[in-house]
Amino acid sequence: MRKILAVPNLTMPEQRAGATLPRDSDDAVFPEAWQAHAFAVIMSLYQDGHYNWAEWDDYLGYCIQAPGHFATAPGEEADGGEQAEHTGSNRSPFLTACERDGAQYYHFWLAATEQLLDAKGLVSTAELDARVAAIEKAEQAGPRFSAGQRVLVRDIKREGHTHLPLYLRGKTGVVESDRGLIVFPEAAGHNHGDDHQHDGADTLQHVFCVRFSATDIWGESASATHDLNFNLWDYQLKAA
Amino acid sequence: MSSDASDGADAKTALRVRALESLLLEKGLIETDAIEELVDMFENRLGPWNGAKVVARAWTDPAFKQRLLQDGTAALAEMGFDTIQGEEMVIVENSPGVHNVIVCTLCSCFPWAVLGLPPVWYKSAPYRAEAARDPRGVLREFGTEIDGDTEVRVWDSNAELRYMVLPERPAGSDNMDAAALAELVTRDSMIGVSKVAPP
Repeated sequence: MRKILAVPNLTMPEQRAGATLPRDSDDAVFPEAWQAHAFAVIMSLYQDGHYNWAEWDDYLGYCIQAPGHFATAPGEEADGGEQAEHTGSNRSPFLTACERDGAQYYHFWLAATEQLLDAKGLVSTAELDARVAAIEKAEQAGPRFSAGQRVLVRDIKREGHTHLPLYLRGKTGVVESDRGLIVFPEAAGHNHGDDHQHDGADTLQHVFCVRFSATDIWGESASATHDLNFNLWDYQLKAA
Repeated sequence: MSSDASDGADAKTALRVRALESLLLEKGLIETDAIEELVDMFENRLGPWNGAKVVARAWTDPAFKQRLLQDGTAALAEMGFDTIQGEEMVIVENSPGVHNVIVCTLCSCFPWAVLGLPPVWYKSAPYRAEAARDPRGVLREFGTEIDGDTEVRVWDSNAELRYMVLPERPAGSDNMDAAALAELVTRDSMIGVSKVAPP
């Protein structure tokens, strides 16, 4: 089944009560959700045979042994300081130093991940940087519409397959909800060839669920108590 | 300390991971379900409570202990603890004259199947360096004193071969069954930086 290409929020499972023994290991396995996800991505790609463990180990080992790589990384000292404060007064300076240094581990892990995936041709560094920028841009801009707002479906002319039901063009509906940021399949650079690109359409856009009354779409013969809900990309809509 | 600067830096890192995940999902290289399953597995199913059961069984079942020391991988598989990446597991036994400590001097290799993911300090440069150079000193930091007559054996783990320490059964635990004994076993005792305290 094809999954919706939404930008994932990094979710974490509930910690189960059974997983508490022994007594000295109550520190979180993954203090931050991003660490859990960076870890799981590497495991998942490994399990699917995209590389063997020795290859991964090479990249991780290199990043861990080259801490200079991260000497100026944002957040390094801040993370270390935070960790030191948690473990604070009742631990020895040696163990505090261990906690501080070890807190950098998943930064090394992520750096190694980026390098390995680039080397393997799975995700290039340029591609990743572009996606980071796209998410930042979209999140800074925020959703253009909110629930209850009336919107008009743009009259987009396009050759070939489109993700817009054509009979909706020019129709007015009401935003039912914001589905979040989802990849716009027709956006430039999405492997549909030059003639299929929408100039200026962002890769990541808010998708809005829009409700139309059947009579607006099918005419007065339709039932007055029948409405239709469509998920439409920001690019396909304008304020009514 | 949760200054805006550190929050901002962490948010930037989290954003990078989200961006990476979104590209991999889009390319069909990962699936959300698989990622969630893996996080849950390492969060909730793999952890030192598994190793504690192994230790408790070894203390109460001499034949199992013999198999465990002879072929760790096979004996763990017998209890349902299969290795995750096909690595070999070696169990090293503490005794009155020998104390074992495990470390991964190069990175962070750890016996996931029985102990889960390593603690933060295990992955740190100071532990990795000092456990190899001055293990008695490191053990002292954990409050563990090893007398001068006892041999300290440091085992360097790698991706292919990983270790777990079988700690000594503590005094005063003679009447306890395996389930009760498992509750005494700590993660640190199976890494070898501490001993199992008497009940």
